[in-house]
Amino acid sequence: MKRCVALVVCCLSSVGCLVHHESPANAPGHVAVDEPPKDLAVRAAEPPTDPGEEVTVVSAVATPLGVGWSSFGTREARTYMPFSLELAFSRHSLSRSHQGFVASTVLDGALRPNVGMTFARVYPGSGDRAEVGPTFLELQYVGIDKDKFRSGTFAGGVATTFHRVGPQVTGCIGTLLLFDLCARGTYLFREGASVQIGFGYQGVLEWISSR
Amino acid sequence: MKRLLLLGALASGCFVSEGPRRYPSWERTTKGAQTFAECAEADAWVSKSGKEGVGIVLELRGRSSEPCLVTIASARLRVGNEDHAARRLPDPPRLRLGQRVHAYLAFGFDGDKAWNEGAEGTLVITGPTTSVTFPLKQTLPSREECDPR
Repeated sequence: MKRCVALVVCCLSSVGCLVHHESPANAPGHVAVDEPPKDLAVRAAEPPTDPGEEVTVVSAVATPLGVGWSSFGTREARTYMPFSLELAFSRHSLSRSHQGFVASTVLDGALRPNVGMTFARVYPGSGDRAEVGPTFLELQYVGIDKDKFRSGTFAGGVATTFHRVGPQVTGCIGTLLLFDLCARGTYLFREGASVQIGFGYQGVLEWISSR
Repeated sequence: MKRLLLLGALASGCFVSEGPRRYPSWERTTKGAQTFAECAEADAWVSKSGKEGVGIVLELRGRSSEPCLVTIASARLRVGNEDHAARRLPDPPRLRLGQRVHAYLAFGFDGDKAWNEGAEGTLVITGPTTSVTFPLKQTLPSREECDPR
């Protein structure tokens, strides 16, 4: 039990929450250098136009609470508690600078890679036996309904234990950039299927750099 | 276990920092006009500065009681190790005492590269017999000088 509580705390603390960072490096704005200023006698530079920014969004999702069944559909199906961490990356161009927190806008409709690992599967009973689960790489689609403060993702990809490999699909729904409920199905060839349902706690880092 | 829980709670904080965007720009490092030819003074300031280059306004003021023709043979901006000629030179104005004429000089170059290299610049205006030099530098305005958007 202590091991499970420690795993929950590690999951939550590892993803943080919403982090918005503006790069201290700057870049000049746009100017129409061939066009003279409106009033040549004004002894000041005209303000340049905004060239926009680039934003890299990294979403970290920890699943500290869930339940799964391995070898699903066979007589040997076993129940386990999954603990996983995953990271999704995307990069976007913004036409205007300094719009504040933009992840909730730019992520809507984004297609991005999502890499993660079920770093522990704890089997209750028999001394809380634990094993390392599959590592996975997915392509994830993000949909956001800001009016109703909810979001959803759907992802498909491959999972591997480095001995076995197979397809994996994941679907999540939840509150915008905070918590979500995810269902994940994995099939590893010559090992079998597993399904799991878990609550994900999401952290978002957005790194803004000048264009 | 309590310490682990406390560490987890602390690590889950939010950090948000943002201010108005500031744009690097070129400016003169010296002030005041310089004598140009025998019958005029020349002053200059940056009126446009950005990724596409720099636009400089040249002010010529007559200092002779007799009308005189002020010819600009060349206008060059040295940025780091690169030399850039003005895209167009102004027509030579005929100046009387105290009369001011403004001309716009456009210099196209890679403003991002110049900023990243921390390049300094020198504007050289050359006439038939004399030339004047205006040193330039790039600066990033302080946050107080920027209007929040």
